[in-house]
Amino acid sequence: MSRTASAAPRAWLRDLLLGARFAVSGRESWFRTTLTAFGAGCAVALMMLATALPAMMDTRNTRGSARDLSYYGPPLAASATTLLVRDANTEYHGAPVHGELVKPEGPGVKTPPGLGAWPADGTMAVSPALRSLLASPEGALLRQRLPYRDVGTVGDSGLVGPGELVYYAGDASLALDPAHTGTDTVYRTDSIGGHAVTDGLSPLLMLLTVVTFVVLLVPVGVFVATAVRIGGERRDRRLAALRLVGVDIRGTHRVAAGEALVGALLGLPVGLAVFWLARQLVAGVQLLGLSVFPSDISPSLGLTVLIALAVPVCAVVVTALSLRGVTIEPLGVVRTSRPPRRRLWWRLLAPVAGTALLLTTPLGQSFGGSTQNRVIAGIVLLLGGVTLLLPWLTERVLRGLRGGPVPVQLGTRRLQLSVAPAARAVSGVVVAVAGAIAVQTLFGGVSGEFVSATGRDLTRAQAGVDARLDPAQAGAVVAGLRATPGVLSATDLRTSIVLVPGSDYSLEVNVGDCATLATYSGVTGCAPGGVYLVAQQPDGTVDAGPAPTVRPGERLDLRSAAGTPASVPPGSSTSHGTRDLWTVPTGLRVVTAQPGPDGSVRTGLFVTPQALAPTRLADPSLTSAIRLAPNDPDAVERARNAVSAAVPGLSVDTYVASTTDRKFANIQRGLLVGAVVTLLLIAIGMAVSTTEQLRERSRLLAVLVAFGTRRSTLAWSVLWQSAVPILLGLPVALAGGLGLGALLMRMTGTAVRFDWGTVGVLLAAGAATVAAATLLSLPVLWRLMRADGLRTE
Amino acid sequence: MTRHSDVTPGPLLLASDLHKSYGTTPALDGADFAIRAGEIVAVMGPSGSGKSTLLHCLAGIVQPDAGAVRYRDRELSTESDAERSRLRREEFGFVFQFGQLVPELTCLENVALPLRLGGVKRRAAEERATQWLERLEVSHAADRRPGEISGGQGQRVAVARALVGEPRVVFADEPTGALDSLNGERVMTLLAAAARETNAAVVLVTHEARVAAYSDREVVVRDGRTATGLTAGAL
Repeated sequence: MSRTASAAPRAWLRDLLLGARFAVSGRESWFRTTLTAFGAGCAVALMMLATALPAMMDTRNTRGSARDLSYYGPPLAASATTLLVRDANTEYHGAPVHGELVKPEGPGVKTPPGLGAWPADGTMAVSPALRSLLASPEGALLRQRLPYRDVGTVGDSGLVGPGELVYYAGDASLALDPAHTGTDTVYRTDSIGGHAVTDGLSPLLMLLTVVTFVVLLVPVGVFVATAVRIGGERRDRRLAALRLVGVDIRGTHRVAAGEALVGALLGLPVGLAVFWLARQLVAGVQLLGLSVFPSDISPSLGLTVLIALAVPVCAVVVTALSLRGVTIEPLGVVRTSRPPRRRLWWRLLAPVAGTALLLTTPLGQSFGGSTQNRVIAGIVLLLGGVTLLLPWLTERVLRGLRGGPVPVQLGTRRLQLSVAPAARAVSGVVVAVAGAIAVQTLFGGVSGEFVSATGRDLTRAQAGVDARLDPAQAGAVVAGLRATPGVLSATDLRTSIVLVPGSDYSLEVNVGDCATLATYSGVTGCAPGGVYLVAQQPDGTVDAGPAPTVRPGERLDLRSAAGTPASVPPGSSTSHGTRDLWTVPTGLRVVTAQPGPDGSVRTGLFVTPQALAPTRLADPSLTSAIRLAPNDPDAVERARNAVSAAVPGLSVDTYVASTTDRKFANIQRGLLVGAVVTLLLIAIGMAVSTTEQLRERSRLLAVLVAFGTRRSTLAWSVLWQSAVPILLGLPVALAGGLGLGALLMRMTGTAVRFDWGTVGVLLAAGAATVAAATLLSLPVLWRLMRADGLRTE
Repeated sequence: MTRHSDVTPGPLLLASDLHKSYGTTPALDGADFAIRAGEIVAVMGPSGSGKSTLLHCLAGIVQPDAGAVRYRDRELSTESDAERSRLRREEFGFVFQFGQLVPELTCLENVALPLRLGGVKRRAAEERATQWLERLEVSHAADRRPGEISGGQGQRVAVARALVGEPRVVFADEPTGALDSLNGERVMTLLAAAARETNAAVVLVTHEARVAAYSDREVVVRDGRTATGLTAGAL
C-alpha cells in the first residue's frame, strides 16, 4: 500500500494486488466483478466475432468455388474423366437448393469436396440439412421434386454452411446437345472447382466493408468503457475507507485500477467462452438466411492478441478517467465534487477532426493503406465525438429544469447531479444508431451500382420458365404448369432466330397464341393466323434492324441461324437438316413493342401457331410467364414440381423486382447481423448497468418504500432517467449519422440523398433498445422495493 | 402545523404476539407493543435483538409471520401492500440512521418529498417544507444537496422530512446512531419537541440510554421478545 506519493514499482504492484483482492473478496465484490467480466467478455466475444467475419466469408466462398462444376474452356470430347452435368438448382420456400444432375462418362471423373462417389442413376447424395427437410412434413413438396433414392451424404467440406440444401443426383438420361451451351442445359466438364474467379473487393465494396466494421465496433468499445465502470460508487466508498488508513490519492487510483483489471482480465476467458458458445450455437441456427460452420469462425491471432491487450488497458484508462471528478476523503465519506460545467470546445475537436479527415480523403482506384486508415480514424473520431457531445448536451438541457411530477423530479435531479452514467449508458445506442444511419445512407447511395432492377412486372406474372427445350419438352412443361393447382395461367411462347435474307441481321421469330403474343408485345386485335412485326421500341424509337427488311411474301429459312459455328463444339454435328423455308404472309402488321412480364422488350416476328407451327422452329426456347394464386404460398412449389417432372432439373425463376450483387448483399447481410448482435449486447449492457445503479441505491430505495412511495413512481423515475438522454441522444445520432453518411457519399462521388423511412426505423430501434433495457431492469427494482429491503438498514 | 386531537383512550398502535423469522433465524418471537397518541416510546435492546424488525412490523413495512398489528381501527396484517404504503405515506413518518435523504434532491426537495408523494402541489409542499426546515434550524441548507451538508444537519433535515406530513406516528430507527453526542442531542431535542407539539407518537429504536431518556417509557426487546416495559395488556 502506498503511503507516499512515490510510484515505485513495488508500491504499484502492492496497490494493484490490493485492488485485485478487493475485486474478489466478498459476495458483493464478486457480483460486481462478475458483471464487469460479463460486460467485457461480451465485448471481447463480439470483437472476436467481428474480426472473424472476413475470414469466414472467404472460407465460405472458397468452399463454394471448390465444388463448382462449371466449365469455361474449349469444348471437350467424352473421355474417362469427363462428366455430363445439368445444373438443377431450385428453390424451396425461399431457400436456395443447390443441385446438380450428373452422368460420369468414365471411371476417372474426380468428385467435388464432400462427395465420396458420384451417385448412380436414380440415386442422390444430399446434405444433412436437405435430408432433414426431405424427411420432415415441411419437405413434402420438395420430395416430389427430387424423386431420387438417397444413398449418400454430402460432407461438410462440400457445403458452404451446415444449413445449406445440396444434392447431387445421378441421371443416365443426360445427353449433350452440341447446340446447347447455356446453364439451363447439359454441359460437359472435367474440372472440379479451382477455376472460380476469386476477385477482390472493389474500392467501394472495401469502403462499405470497413465502414460496416468500424460502425459495429465503435459501440462495442463504448460498451466496454461502460462495463468497467459498473459498481463505481461502491468502489469509491471502499477507497474512502482506504484513505482513512493512510492510502494517498494516487494509491487509491492504483487500487481502483487493480480492481478494474481483475474484471477486465476475467472478461477475457469469459469472452472466449461466449465466443466459443456463440460459435457452437451458430451451427444450429440461421440468422438472416446465413448458416455457418463453427470452424469457419476463426478470428485472426494478431487481432485476438490486440483485443486481449486492449480490453485491460481500456479498463484501466476508463477507471482513471472515472476517478477524475470524485473527491475521496479519508473520513470514510466520498463526496462527488460538484461537477465542473462541461465545456463544449474540446468535445467538438473529435468530430471536427473526423470530418476534416473524411473531407480530405478521396476514394481513388484502390482502397487500402493510408486511405483506409484515414477513413477508419475519421469514422472513429466522428462517432466517438457523438459520445462526447451527449453528456454536454444533456447537462445543458437539464440545467434549468426544476418542476414536474415526483418521478420526473427524481429522475431529473439524479441526471443533474450525475449526468455521465446515464449518458454513458445510452451512448452505445446513440453511436450504434448514428453508425447505422451513416452506413444505411451509404448503402442506399451506392446501391445503384450493386442493385439492378429486373424490370419484371410482378402484377402480370410471379414466376417464369425460360429455357431452350425441344417442342415435346416445352409442351410437357406448359401442360404440366397449366394443370397445376395454384397456377392461374402460363404462357407458351416459342422463340427461334432466323437470318434476314440479304442482310447481316438476325430476327427473332416468336410463336404463341393470341393471349401470349399480347403478353409479350403490343399486339392487339389478334386472330388465329395473324402475323405481326414488332419493330418499335416502347419509347417510339424505330428498331432499325428488321423493320425495313422483312416484307410480306419474303421467304425465311427457319434453320438459317441454328447451329452457328460459334455455338457448336468441334466434332459435333453442325447441320440441322435441310432448309425449311417459310413465307411471310401478306397480312403482316407492324405493331409497337411492349415489355413482357419478364421485363424483356421483344422485337421481330410474332406469329400465331396457325400461321407457323412451333414445331418447325429450329433450336427453340420456351418462355412461360406464370401467374400464381395470390394466397397460395405453395403454388410456386407445385409449379416447380410440375416443371421438374417434365424436364428434370429445369428450374422456375421466381420473379423479383430487383437483384443485388452477391458481395454487396453479403456485406449488407453482415451489417444486419452485426447490428442485431450489437444492439442486443448494448441492451444487455444497459440492463446490467441500470441494475447495478439500482443496487447501489438499494438502501435509498428501501427508505423510499418505507415512506410509502409507489412502485410506479420509482419505475417512471428510472424510465425518465433513461428517456432523457436517449431523447437528446437520438437527434445527435441523427445529425452525426446523416453527417457521416453525407461525408462517405461525398467520398464515393455519389449524390447525397437519405432514406428517411429507414432512418426513422433506426431511430425507433434505438429508442426501443433503451426502453427494452430499462424494462429489463424493472424486476430488480421491484425486488429491491420489497419491504424486507430495509433489513439492510 | 396541526396538532392531532386523538381522543381515543386506547393505544394508537397496538401489536400483540408478533412472530417474524428471516429464513430459519427468528427475529421476533412473541413481541407485544403499544403506544398512545403523543407518546414517545423507546425500543431498546442489544444488536440483533429484533428492535428494527419490530419497528418495521409496526410500520407495516414488513408483514409478521404471526400476530396482529392494529393501528387505530385498522388491522395492518390483513391489508394489502398498496393500502399499507398509502398508510405510511399519509399517517407515518420515518427517520433512519443512514441513507434516508435522496442525494440528488436538495434538502428542501427532500423534505417536500412525502407531501409530493401524497399529491400536494410542489409550491405548497415546498412552502411547508421551508417551515419545517426553519423549525429544525436548517433553513440555510434548503438549496444544498445532502452531500454538501454535515451529518447532524442531514439528520435534522431527515427529521423535518419525517414530520412535514404531520404524521400521527413517527418511527425513528437509531436516529442519532451516526452522530456525535452534541449533534445527537440536538436532533433528539428538536424531534421530541416537534412530536409533542403535533401530538405525534414516536417509536424510537435505540440502544443508547441518553437517547432513550427523551422517551416517556422504554420497551426492551431481547431475543425477539418484549422483555420489559408496558405491554398491550397493561395499556
